[in-house]
Amino acid sequence: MANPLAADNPISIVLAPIVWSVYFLFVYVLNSVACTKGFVGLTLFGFGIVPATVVIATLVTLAIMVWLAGLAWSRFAPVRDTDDHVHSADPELARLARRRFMALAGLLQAGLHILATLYVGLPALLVPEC
Amino acid sequence: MRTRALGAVLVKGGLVGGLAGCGGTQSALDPRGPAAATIADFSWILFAGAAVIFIGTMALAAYGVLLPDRTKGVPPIRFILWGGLVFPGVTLLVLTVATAMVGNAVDFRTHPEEPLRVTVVGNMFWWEVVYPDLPGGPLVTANELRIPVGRPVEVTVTTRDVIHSFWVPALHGKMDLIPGRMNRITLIASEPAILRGQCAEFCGEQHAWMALFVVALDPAEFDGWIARQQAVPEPPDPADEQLVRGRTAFLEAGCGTCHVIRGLAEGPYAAVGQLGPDLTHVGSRLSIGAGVLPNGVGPLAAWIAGVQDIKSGARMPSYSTLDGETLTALARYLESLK
Amino acid sequence: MTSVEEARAYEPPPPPPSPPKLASVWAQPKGWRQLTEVNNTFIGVLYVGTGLMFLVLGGILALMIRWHLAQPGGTLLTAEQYNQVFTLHGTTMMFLFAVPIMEASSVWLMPLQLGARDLPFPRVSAYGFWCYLFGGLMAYSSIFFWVAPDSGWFLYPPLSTEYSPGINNDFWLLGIGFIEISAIAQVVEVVVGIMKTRAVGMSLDRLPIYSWYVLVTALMIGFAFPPLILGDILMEIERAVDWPFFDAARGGDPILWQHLFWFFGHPEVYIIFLPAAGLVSTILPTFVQRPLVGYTWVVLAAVATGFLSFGLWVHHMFTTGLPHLSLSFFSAASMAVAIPSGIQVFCWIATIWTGRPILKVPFLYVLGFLFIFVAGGLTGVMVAAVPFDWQAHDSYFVVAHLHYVLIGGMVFPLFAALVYYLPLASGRMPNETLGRWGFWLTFIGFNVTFFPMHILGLKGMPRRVYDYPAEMGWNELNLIASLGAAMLAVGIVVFFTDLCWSWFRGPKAKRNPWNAGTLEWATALPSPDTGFRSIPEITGHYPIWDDPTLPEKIDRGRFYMPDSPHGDRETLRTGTVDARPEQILVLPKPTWLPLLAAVATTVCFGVAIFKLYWTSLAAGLVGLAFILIWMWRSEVRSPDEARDIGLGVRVPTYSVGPRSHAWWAMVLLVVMDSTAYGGLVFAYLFIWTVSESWPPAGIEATLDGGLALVTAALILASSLPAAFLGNADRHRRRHLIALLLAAMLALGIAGGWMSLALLWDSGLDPKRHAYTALVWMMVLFPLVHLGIGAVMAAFTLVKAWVDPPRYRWSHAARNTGLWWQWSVAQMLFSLAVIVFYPDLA
Repeated sequence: MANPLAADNPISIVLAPIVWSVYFLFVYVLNSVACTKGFVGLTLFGFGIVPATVVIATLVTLAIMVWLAGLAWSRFAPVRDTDDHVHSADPELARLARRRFMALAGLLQAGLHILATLYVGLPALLVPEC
Repeated sequence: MRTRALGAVLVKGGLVGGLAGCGGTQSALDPRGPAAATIADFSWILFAGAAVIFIGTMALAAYGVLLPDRTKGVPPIRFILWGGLVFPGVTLLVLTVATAMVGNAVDFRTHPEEPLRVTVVGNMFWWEVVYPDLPGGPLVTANELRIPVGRPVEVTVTTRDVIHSFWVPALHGKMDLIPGRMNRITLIASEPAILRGQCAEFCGEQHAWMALFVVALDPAEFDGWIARQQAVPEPPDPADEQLVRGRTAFLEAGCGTCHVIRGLAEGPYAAVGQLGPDLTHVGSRLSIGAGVLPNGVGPLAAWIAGVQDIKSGARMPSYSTLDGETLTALARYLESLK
Repeated sequence: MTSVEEARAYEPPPPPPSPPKLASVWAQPKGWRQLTEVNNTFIGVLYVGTGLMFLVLGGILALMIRWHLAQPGGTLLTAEQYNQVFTLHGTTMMFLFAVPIMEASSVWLMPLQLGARDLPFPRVSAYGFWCYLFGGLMAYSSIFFWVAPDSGWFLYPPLSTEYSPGINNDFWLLGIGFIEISAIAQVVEVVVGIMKTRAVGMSLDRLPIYSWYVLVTALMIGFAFPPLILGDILMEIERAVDWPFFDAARGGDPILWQHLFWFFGHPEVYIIFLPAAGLVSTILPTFVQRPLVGYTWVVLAAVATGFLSFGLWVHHMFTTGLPHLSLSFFSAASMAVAIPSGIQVFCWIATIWTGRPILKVPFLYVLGFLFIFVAGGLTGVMVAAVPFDWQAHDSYFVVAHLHYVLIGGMVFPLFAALVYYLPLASGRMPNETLGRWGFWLTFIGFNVTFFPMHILGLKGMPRRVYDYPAEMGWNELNLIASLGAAMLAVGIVVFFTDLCWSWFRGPKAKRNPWNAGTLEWATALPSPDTGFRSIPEITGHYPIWDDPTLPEKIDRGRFYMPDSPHGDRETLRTGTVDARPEQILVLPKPTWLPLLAAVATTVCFGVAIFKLYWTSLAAGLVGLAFILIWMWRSEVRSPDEARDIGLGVRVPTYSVGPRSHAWWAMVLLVVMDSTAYGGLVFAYLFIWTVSESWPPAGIEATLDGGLALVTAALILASSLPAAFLGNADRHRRRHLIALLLAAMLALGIAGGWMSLALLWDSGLDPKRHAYTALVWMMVLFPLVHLGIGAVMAAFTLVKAWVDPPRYRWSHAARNTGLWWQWSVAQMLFSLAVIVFYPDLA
């Protein structure tokens, strides 16, 4: 569990979902508290405080996801053709296949959660807060 | 127990048939207002889209099952990428935006026209309807919401006991009645109609029989209805002995501890109780018992004598000890309160 | 990879007999003593059987519902009886059938698929099973006296609290609450099992796909159930001693319950679906005789579903008047969760495309699943769209949707698996003809029952009504649905007839009868108690397709641990990522303790329903005594410190710290517990958001900051000795450990006492307001944890001091330290919140 970004660490598979969960919880709590505690009327850069903050949070989250995707891609590209080594009895080849698995899983997670982040962030531009 | 239940069925079966004339639509697919219409259109798009996707997916599966052939040409991973990720990803993105826009379109809170304000209070198992700011003072009625066609109606919903849900499918979606909270939903009816609504959140034993009629009227007709409802009913013609007897029975049986009849607020048996529906103009309503029976002398008498057989668990006891004549007189009196 | 055809052509010779020691140590006890068996082969079958029994019991209730609703004015049930029947139907299907049977399947199947002889904590499985059986029967039996829960399976207050004074809902809260605890126990078992007890070479990327699903599901249970258990506790406290958490008149909020319930309730749907999807992903490749296409994609989909499904709970609350933008967030997440489902569906279809389908009964159920689940998924996307849901919510449309998703998504795969694994469990083949009749009746009956309900809902029919007016245009559709239900019931009867008849009378199965590639089919049939004769080394997702001679090699003891030299039950612990051999795990032998502890636990919860609290406490103490005896007999000392396990590999027989299974079990428990505590903190903050001021107006009493500081200091001080327990254990200083534990206990008891004094002196009356009740809970919750920690500490103190010759105590010491530090952290956080938050807010 030493370095969560290490290529061999299975945590890399769940980094994107964890980031998404934090983002989701943040925007939900923000809007709930803004509506119940009545600071929804405040503005930030001329926009409502909630949509403005949600847009910023969405952009930050997307940036992290894109970075995670890039990291995963840089690990995936060199070993992308090692799929068959998953059946290999040679520990070194099997290790390559394992790297490929984790890199691809990380890449797909990042891609999927980029979509999920877009879905969550978009309505902030369209829907009234409360 | 068995025979009582059977009795209830006979009573209901015999009487409910008569309600068909004023049944009113309760279908989300038969909209009578702009919100329900927009949602219904949106629904049809969803159904059509879902049907196409369903048939397409099943066709792909059937092709694989029925025509096994190793040389189908599409690399499996590309198949998954496009079919499983890209296609739903884009479709759902569009749907997310559409959802937001439809949601805004049926949100009439910012409607330019000043709304008529109504409060609906849920009770186990009936609806109290209050028009709080009419020019002639507040008006209280029950199980029936009359609204003017075309004008937004802001319904504030809350409850005296458990959670209920206000749902008139032909006008709009649901809004829950929650203890300690005031929720609002703004409705517009686009044509004169009698609509049926029903409690949609499970609220206990008689959740099934907690209906509400919404009557959309032309504005002039609506104003007339308001005026008639705000008037205190005339005392019964002294010459009509049965009516006088009915009124006396109402007071002496203690009905006034739970029900209000405006104009009967004086005396030892004053009708000022707040536990049951306001009966001031009960004779003018489409149904009794929150939709369980049609209105009329017969059903009223059956109801008073056998509430617990007809609607077990309702908060009103059965007055089965009243003799037939008194019962008829009482029912006729109530029916006369138009 | 060898071709699948070669694998099919190969038939291994009959297995030679196991070495007598290995066979005898795993042999099941005979007669009554069979109830002491803790091995997964025995417990797993009973477990699955119990799940099926509850399916039938829940199904009978469903038939009563459809009978009653076939026409308006149904006379089968009264209104009150109907409400009990539909509540118990939902409760039984969700809590007594769907979740447990999926856990049961994994307890039975997982070790075989992973190449283990058993899961790492067999007694926990046994205890969990017995609790489930007794608790389930207790909850269900309430219907025989018409005192079953009657407020819906979601138990919304205030209907379930103030307006339900009877004991009905206590059957739910205590009966089901208790089963949830057993579900949590299985989580520890299954997760640690997947992480630690795999065949050599079964690295993460070679994990059987079903195990990935089970891993994700188990972790989801770990995050979703604790907040519900917390909600149960709060509601039972409100019902029993009138602390108003959900009472709007005293500052509580019924919506708080809905949040806690649905934070469990939505992931629940995926908790039910994912293991079933795992079964599909396992069975489908066998019947097209090709590997699953897109292994990594499927893993991704399972993991992503696990996360996204926690962002959906509010979509059960779209009509509660929450802020519009909040609804949009949850709507968006509900859309997003459809993508991983789409990915899985396309992986399955792609797999079908790559092979030649063999239309045997299990595959029919898989195809039926695909049909129904895709339909249910599409209606799921519809109800994710907020405006559509405003109409569909709580109508029969949702009834249709949820049955499509749950029956299609879970029962069909389960039926596929029951037929598929029949040979492995019983050694006999299912009957193809009966199976096909069963399938078609079930499939057509299902659609006839539930498809019309979509239309009913759109035509305005609400859920949970015992009756409906005759003139609404609902009569025909209701009648069709009821006739469909009869057909569905006949189909299920035919299915079970096949299953039962074939179990005893079916033709003997040849080995690996479906020519599957996964490891569980490498055993002899029916799978022996020993599991594998030797624990194999594998290279790939389909070990048998990779090497058709694998079963023969396993039989001949060519791999690891081919015997049991000391007559212990043992399995191999391997590395979490790379699955290299690391340790021999010595497992417990048959014992009465789990059964006895489960009986005591059942009595403890059961009599509490009738408010016999002293009896309940006594039973609880008896149960605790059994569990302490069980703990005393844990950590069996093997005569050798390290051992040659074959193929020139030598591994230790004991390990501590992050490498050990026990450490992981405790960490998991703490993580799960943290979500319950998180739920409590959420409750506190939630009530803050709905209050005008904080503390709410009219609450004059305040907490004494000085006293709180002293309490915090004492509690914090008690964590110091706890922190040194690991160090002392590393140096084998058992008397030092005892001393540290004694210091920890003394400081902890003093601090705990002070925390009670803090509450008592504050004058905050917990019955007065939700705020005051929550302040009490914020302290009592960690205090109970410290209390449990104190029992653990006293136990470990004695065990370390006595140093029994046959058992060790290092895990006990280290886990006590972990638990204690976690409890201390809770208490400090609680004190900080209740003292400072009112000023901050």
